[in-house]
Amino acid sequence: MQGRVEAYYPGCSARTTERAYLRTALFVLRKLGVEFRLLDDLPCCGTLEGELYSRELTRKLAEIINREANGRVITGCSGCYSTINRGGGSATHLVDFLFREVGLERIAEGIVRKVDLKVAAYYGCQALRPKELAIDDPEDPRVLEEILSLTGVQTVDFPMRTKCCGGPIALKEPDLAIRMAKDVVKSAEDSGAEAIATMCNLCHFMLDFYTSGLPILHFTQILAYSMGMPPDELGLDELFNPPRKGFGR
Amino acid sequence: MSLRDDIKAISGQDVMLCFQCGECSSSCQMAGYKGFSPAKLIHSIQLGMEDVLRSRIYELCLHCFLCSVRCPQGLSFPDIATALSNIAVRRYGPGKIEKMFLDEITNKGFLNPATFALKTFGFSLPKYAGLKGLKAAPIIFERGNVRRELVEEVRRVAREG
Repeated sequence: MQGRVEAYYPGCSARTTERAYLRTALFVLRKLGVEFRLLDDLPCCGTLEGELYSRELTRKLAEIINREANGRVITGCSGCYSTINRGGGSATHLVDFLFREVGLERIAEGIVRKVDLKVAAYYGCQALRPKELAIDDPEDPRVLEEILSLTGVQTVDFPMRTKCCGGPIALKEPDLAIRMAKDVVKSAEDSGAEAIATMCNLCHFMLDFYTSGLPILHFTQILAYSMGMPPDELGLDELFNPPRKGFGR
Repeated sequence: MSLRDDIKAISGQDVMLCFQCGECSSSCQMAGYKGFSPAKLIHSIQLGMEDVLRSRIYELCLHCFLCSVRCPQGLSFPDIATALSNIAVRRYGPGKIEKMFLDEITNKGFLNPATFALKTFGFSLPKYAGLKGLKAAPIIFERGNVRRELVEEVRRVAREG
């Protein structure tokens, strides 16, 4: 990895409602000594809607993205990750990159303070399935918990951790989609979580925007804080459900 | 070409491999909603019933791919649903949501979730997102800053696509 310059593709949402995700993800990468270019002027990956319109469109968008990136991209969005790869392109999920290419040991070295919080790690679908795109066991993943545990948080298991956030049908069946998002949050809450940590732009938007109560954090906000990012730069108050506990609060 | 040949050409999925074990439907978070059942849908296609296209019932697939990791025949229902959607667009033209999507992506090369939420719910948005949703108001006008020549390229590609 030394000397290699990566390309980070944030996805559309990380440039709008999910800016805190982008900011904290980039902080974490810099802290870990990862060199990268930020590709924040590239087109949308097309997302599921693009694929449903035409698979050919998805292929062409993936081509544009990889061409402009000069090769593979790293992205924090599971939707972009899935869409680009399904379009025949090359994308690595940020969680996978941190776990496999940076490694837990190096991440642990970057941790300077602990976070005291009970966190439900939420995976959603797109980074776990189909099999060819699974960054971990498609039905019983552990990578996100392993990364988060380094920060001192206590991770809690909950039944909905690999279920759908409702995002893919938010436009077609909005009421049902919101009910699904609420089910995920309720499941985490019932399991004793004080916050949820997500690893996808769309999952975060669905859970944070359409539910109330439990703080919905980007997993990188926890990581960035424990790596020394000043609390007022974490974007906690940009969240629709800001945390009242942890992060020096 | 029959519907199942079309599906195979687009997605590589051969619906005839399915022997109706029902694993997909029992794994599905959406099964039962409005009568949706992946296994039943595949059976209809096997029997050559093309009305599944008109009914657009395949749109209820979440593309969570849980059924695909469990299918003993290695079939991927979400890929079948995608193929059905592509075929429906070709035969009947894009639906309302596809049009909305195409509009955004060809004009800006960019999708703003806040804009989509507003377009979906209109003035009843606060009912769904609560007052905290107002925080998203300034973001609604965000157009991204996708390079102009790339937006042009996307527009070209979407027209061909």
